[in-house]
Amino acid sequence: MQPLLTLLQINDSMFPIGSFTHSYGLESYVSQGIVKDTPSATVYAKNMLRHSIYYNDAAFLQKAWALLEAKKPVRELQKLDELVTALKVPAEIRDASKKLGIRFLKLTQELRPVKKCSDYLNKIQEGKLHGHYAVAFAMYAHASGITLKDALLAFYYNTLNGIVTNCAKLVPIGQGDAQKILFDLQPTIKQLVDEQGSMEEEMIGLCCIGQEVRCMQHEKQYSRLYIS
Amino acid sequence: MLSTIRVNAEREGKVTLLKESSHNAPYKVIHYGSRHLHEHLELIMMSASPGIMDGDEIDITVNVHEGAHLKFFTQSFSKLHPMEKGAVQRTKVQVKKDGLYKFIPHPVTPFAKSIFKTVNEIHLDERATLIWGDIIASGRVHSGESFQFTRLHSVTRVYSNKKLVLLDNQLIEPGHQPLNSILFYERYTHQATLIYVSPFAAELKAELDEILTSQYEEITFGFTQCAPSAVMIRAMGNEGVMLYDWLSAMGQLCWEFTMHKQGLEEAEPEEEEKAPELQASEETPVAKKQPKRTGPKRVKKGVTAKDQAKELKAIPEAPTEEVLKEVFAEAVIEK
Repeated sequence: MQPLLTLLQINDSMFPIGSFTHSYGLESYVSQGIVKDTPSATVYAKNMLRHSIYYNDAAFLQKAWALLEAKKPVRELQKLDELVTALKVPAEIRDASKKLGIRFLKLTQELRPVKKCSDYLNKIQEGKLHGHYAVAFAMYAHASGITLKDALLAFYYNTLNGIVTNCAKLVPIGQGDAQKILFDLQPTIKQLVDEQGSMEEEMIGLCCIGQEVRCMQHEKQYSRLYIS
Repeated sequence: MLSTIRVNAEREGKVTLLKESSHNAPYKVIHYGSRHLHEHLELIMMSASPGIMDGDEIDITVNVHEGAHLKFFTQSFSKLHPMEKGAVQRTKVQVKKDGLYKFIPHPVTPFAKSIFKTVNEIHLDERATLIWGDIIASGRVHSGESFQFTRLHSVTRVYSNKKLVLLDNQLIEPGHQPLNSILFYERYTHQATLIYVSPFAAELKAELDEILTSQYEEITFGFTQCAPSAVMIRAMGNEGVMLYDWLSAMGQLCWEFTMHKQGLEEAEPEEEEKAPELQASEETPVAKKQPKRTGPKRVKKGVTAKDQAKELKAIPEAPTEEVLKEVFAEAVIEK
């Protein structure tokens, strides 16, 4: 098993877990004319990474990783699972994380079973845990010999890749412009990964009010291409 | 300065009473209007201070005992004055079985250079209901003080049967966040949140799906079921009073919905008893009166939250002068 190849595979936007069906509120932003061109798409992408992903999914990944490294008992994982559920307020965002999580766990089990992952999957299926994508991703990457830094870099990269791909489809912006956003935010990703480990506990799960409102509004959007 | 406020609401028979409350300067907790007007308890928190000052620490403890119903009001906007160290407010709420607690304070207005942390820890027992609101302004907007404060951190944790069901973690730090930009206030000046945690949450959500079908011009909002037992409404707007009135109206809807679901309908106050309160404004729609009823618990059948919402327009709840001046939020903002 090659850690880098495994990382490339599980982190690929074409990895069939359904991530391409979610816009995480972007569809509301576009339909309301707030994200409407390349400059606004760039601002949206940058703010998402720096102010949303950093404090949420990336922080959950980091926290799950720290629990795995320290070989913490299962109840710690259960607490993290509850915390993530309690923080993901908009129903569509919470459901997205759960759906991706369970599909990721099922699919990776077929590639190479990992005990922790199958335990997690079982507990989710028994209704004892909620199950979230960032936690599942951390678990499998950790068991595959991937470093935390690489896992985080890849996680941010693929999240951003999803954002710019959705922008290219929805806004729409040019494919070249989308790739330029992806490329230009490399220093931001690097900085966020470097700082990820030093985040204070009370900063985990910070919410952005505007994004939450838009994610909630998506539930009522008349015409929708995306699930969230 | 350390201030503590403690409130205990207990039910005796059909009536909720204030027991063992305490407070110290500059705060004061008193009955809001006459205590004989309703079966539930209405209290108001007053302060002799112009606002929250540097170094202030405020501890608030609210216990709503089994079957008790409490509405806790604030007197005015919470003003955060310029600070160096910062101020802290810690609130602990416990709502016991079948208890009902509503708290929708006036907006928080952070002045330039203010630093504030507020931590709310709320524990709900089985079948308890919470109606909880908060509104945060960007500052004294009309004095050109939007986002001139240093830091405002608001954390609200809600536990139901000792399990964490909701965590709202909001940090607003103008020096480090593009607050007028996408994802944040998006050029609005106020944000508002209403949390409803209750065994009736899913049913309320279904009612909201019917009621809140279109957006307003002045505010933008969304709502969601954030847990099986919780619903959240979030909104952004440009006027604190308008958001406060709207949130209060939604809160009152949640209150009446809960009472209805609990199989309780409260007796409306007698017309002559309520009249003096309403004299403050001629324009205020006259509340719909019903004769005082003193029978056993009544179950009103076939009443939906939609009906309640319609009634809301006509019944300003415990109107303050401010509210009376502004008439009613929905009347203003509904297009």
